[in-house]
Amino acid sequence: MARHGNVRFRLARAAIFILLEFAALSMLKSSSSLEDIWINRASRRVQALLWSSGESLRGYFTLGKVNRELAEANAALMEELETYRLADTSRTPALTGGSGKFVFTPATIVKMSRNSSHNYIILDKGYEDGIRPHSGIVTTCGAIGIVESTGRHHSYGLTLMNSNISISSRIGKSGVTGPLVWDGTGSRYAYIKDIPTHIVCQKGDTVFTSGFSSIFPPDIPLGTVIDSEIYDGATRRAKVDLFQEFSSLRFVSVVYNTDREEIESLENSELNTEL
Amino acid sequence: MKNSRYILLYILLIFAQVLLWNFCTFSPLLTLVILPTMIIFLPVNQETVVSMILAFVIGFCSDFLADGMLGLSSFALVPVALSRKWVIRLMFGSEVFARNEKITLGSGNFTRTLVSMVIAETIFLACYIWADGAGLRPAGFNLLKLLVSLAAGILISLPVAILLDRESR
Repeated sequence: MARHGNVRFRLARAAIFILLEFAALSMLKSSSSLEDIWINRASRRVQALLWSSGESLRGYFTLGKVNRELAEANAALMEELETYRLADTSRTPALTGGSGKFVFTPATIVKMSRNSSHNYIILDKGYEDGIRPHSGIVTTCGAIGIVESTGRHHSYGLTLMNSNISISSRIGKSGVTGPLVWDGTGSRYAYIKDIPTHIVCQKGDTVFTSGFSSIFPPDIPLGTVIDSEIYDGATRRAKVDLFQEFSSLRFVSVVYNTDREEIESLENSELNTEL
Repeated sequence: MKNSRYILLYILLIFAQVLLWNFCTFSPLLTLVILPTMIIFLPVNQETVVSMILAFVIGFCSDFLADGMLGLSSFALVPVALSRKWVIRLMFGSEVFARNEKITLGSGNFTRTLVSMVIAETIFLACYIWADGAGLRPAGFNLLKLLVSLAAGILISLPVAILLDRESR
């Protein structure tokens, strides 16, 4: 009780001190134009500091909303970019890849495992939000994984950090293609396998999605080649430094190829004919 | 009777401060002040809030009579009153409050009282010179002015301290 009284007394003393100093400054302000300018300048500085601090604080608490808006804008831009890419493909089909029309849906990661050899991801969007199995999970920094199954409001996927996942990739815009697989150790490196031995992979070459898989659109940058070596005596493999930092991942886009069913039915019918 | 004499002495010291400001303007590097010593020599158990209000009134009266910038002395003197008990506790310990002792120059307390006066004078001059310069004077000039004024201020505050010490006994 005495402690509370002491605190109250100290607060009152501080308030009176501020009040008296404020009164003195007000008198000083009106008695000299030089001091008037000085006090005005100081008060503006304090106001600016308070406003900027308030804005920073407000900005911090609205970061979640801003991130969501950015993820939505990002998904819309990726979709728009894909439209242009498709239009470009129709003009020069021989030069570029592309196997359909892609729809992008922004999503937030609910859970993501990183410490096993079969890592998975759970997203906050399900089939009611338009997410379908075998959709790709991407960001602007790379491919993250593939949706395996969907619930009403959530979906489950396997990440690139999973030994069962491989992503069709290409070194450079028109270079050699091969499956990109996780190196099984950290979240930073992956390998492009099955590269013919006569192909020389230059260090620093950018690796993109090839677009041959009908899951991921082409030309999403994945990483850069840092090394290559002959593997098993028959093929070469290139070590890739991934652009995407998996540990800081929160917002992604789920990309679905609307032509996927048509492509798959064509593949199946071709298989049946061969049999 | 003793209280009224004490109040009269404070009023006379305010006039002395006014005279110092009006007639002892030897250099822009020198500001002679005795007001912080007056605040330090207020009764030890005087409440800080009352000391601050007294400091404000004393500063206001000095500025008003000296035809200076109204509010400048109050602005510098209120922080002295706020820190007064802290300074006394630092130099004399908490016992002076319990025993309601007086600040005195005698009985081996000269150095401690002098240091208290120096601290009070430094706080006052720092605020006063900073506000007086309105941020236009260079820091080196302000520092030199503070040192010169502090030395001179302590010299002229010593007779004031002796006077207040004698009156409080």
